[in-house]
Amino acid sequence: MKAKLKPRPTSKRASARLTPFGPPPLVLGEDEGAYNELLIRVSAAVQPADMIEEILVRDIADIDWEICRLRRVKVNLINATVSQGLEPALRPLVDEMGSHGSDEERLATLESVVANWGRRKRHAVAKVERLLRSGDIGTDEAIAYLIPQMIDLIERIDHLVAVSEVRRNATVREIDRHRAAAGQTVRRPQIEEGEYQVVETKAAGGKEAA
Amino acid sequence: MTSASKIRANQLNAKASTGPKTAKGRARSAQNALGHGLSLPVHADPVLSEQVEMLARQIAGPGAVGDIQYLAGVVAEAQIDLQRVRTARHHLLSHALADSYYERVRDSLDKLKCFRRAIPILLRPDPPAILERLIERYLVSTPQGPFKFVTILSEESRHLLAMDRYERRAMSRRKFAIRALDEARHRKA
Repeated sequence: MKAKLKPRPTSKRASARLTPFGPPPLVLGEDEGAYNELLIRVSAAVQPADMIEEILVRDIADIDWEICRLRRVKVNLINATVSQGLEPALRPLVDEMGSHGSDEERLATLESVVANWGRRKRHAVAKVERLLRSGDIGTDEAIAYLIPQMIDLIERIDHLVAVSEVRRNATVREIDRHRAAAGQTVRRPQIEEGEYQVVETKAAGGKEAA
Repeated sequence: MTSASKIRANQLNAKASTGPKTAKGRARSAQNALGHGLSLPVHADPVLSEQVEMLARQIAGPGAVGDIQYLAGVVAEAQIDLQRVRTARHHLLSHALADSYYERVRDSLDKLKCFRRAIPILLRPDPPAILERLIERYLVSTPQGPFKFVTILSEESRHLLAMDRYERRAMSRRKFAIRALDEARHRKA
């Protein structure tokens, strides 16, 4: 029977400290649990060995959070702009929706359909596509027509994302450099002397292992 | 040797600067950076000063003296300064996002003009109901969701840009302070 040596993972730091780094950078509507999870996962991946690395880990988590926020805003902006642009495009076709009533009531129905289209509700998506087809317009064409109207905003957000990504990558390199100065590397977990545990294995098929 | 005409041209160009010209305007402008307090050194605030000391002790580790202690203090100061800038930026964004009535200054002025024009129509004996509703909807409408966020980025771009400059400087100071500390530890080892 051959004993296999299985390296015991190095002890992780306790779940990332939130002080003395101040409160999490959350704005209205953001989930603190999700932020904490991100911080814990970054911390688990980097396994900071000293206070400086903890500071840099917190930086990475904060910057990553901001990048996610900006990307979310960009996607929501595109969806919201397309929804807004659809309404005037569909207004001339509203008679074909089969709704009756005053102008106000039909406009309110149209708004509701477009709002549900923005939320990707199946019945609303189908209705909008049917209406667009009746006017010889495809959904992709409608989107392509509306995107240029907000290209400046999209570019601004993309620029902010790019700046944040550069800072995050620079922070990761700083951890590497700091560890190199202390004789370690960041991504490979260290297996230290004396941290092995013996795992007994059974011999296969009655034959003794060599 | 600069010629007299060149000197005169330089003096005239300097007068054409876009900054404030009166003493009162210049005095007000000098206070701009103090509004958010980011240009003040960290040690000017006793609370931040204490945080710097605590963090410096954690960075330096037990038993650290001399160079290591000093350099740990420099890292801590840069980190607390960076934290201060990020907190200020976060407050700016949070406050604006939480404001239900946040909108561009230009939009507020446009609404005021629209309201002034609408008053004579609304004061008629029998104004159209749909017009009343549309005007009301327009006047109380403010950017929502992602539009609100990009409106904030737009309207506050000057402040956000200034904070970004402070943040870059603080990050740079921290980076070089960490390198100096690592170098000092390496020399001692």
